[in-house]
Amino acid sequence: MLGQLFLHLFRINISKLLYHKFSYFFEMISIVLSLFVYFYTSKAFVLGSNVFGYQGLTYFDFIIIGDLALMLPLYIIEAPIRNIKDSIDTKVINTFIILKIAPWKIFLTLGYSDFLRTLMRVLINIILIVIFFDTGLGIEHIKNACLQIVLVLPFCLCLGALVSAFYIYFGRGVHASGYITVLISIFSGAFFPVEVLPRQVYVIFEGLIPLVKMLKGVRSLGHYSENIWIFILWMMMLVPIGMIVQRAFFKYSNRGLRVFRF
Amino acid sequence: MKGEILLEGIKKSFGDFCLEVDHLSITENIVISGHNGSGKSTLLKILAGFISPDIGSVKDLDSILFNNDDIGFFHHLTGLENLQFFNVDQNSLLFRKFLDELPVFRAALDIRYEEMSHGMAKVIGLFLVLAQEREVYLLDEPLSGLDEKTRSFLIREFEGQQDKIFVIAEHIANIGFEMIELSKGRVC
Repeated sequence: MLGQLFLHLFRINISKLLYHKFSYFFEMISIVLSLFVYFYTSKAFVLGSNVFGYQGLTYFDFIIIGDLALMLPLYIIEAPIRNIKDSIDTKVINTFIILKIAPWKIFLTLGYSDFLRTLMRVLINIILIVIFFDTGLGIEHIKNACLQIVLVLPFCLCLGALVSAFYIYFGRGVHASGYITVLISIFSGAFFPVEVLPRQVYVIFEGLIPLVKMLKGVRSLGHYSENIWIFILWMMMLVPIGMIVQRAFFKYSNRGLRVFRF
Repeated sequence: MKGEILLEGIKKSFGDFCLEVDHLSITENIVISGHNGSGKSTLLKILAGFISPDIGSVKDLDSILFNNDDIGFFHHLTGLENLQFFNVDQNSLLFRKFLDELPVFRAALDIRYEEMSHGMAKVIGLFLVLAQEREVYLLDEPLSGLDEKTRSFLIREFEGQQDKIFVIAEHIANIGFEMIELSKGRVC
């Protein structure tokens, strides 16, 4: 009896393992990523924050400032795909399409329908940190952070639009957006200073992800004007990426407004 | 003066199913009837421009499509809040008529969409579509699942719109409009 039970249990486990092999592959990647984060965090911890130009910042300050500064940009990247998926499930998106509302309006209205909640989360975090925790976070930090964040918003908007266009077009990719935000937060320096990475790797990530410069600017009270070119570049990218989103919506409506799920 | 919807040489295939319309001219309100899977909804979606035919083309119409299976609203908002979100004019004659003559519409205005009955949700969706100023209204089974009073009211509304064309796909035959029948994807 007991032997049979174990056999059944073993069979169920094996079949599940084979059925979800793709998600186990990503689980493996998650394990590698967490080991990667622990390794480089400890390396940075040994060297001390002053080495990287973050004078006077404790590890707590480093993490908290990074976390706060990334909340809004990561929301801008991740929210559209999640909210648009919801609107497909509830068919609200179909009503927008039937009423022939412009795709960019649909994207912004539905994609960022819970923007206020995220904004409140950021504010509550700031208030709690200032009141209850002894951090070096002052008005100057907040003002500088706001300006630095605004400069990377077009990049985040473009990335969010691309990811959600992929979902609208192909009907998949919701979980991939989670991985994108995790990877972006790791490699932009949310958990450890990315300067601790090998020089070549650091240069690549600094060039690819504008959030690296943004976080550095926020933590070291750097001048925001250094990052204006990032803002200009990604503002220009909004038009072609907007056309990709429009194409994705057209493909969706051309399927006869059928709700598609995979 | 009503316009004309002209379909010529339209062909659309899905697997074994093929919808073919050699010639169809619509200048008046019309009912398209036919059994399930005869191609009524496909024909409406082609007319609305949501499906492109494999062969032939349809002139761009100033149209709006209603299909209860496709339309959806914000679940956490009431009927009225949903209509307000889509900028419906609450002072319009149509809104007053729906409010005065349809108890189901009145009730739906104060109820969250997630709590609405099938009939309530359908009437809210139909109202939103009818509130849009268009030349052609393509309505896929607008009357099924509704009570007699609501049905009679809606048919009166369709008939009352003199300068619009209503193309209605429906099983119910006694609407009083000219009728064409689709059978296995072909107009009989």
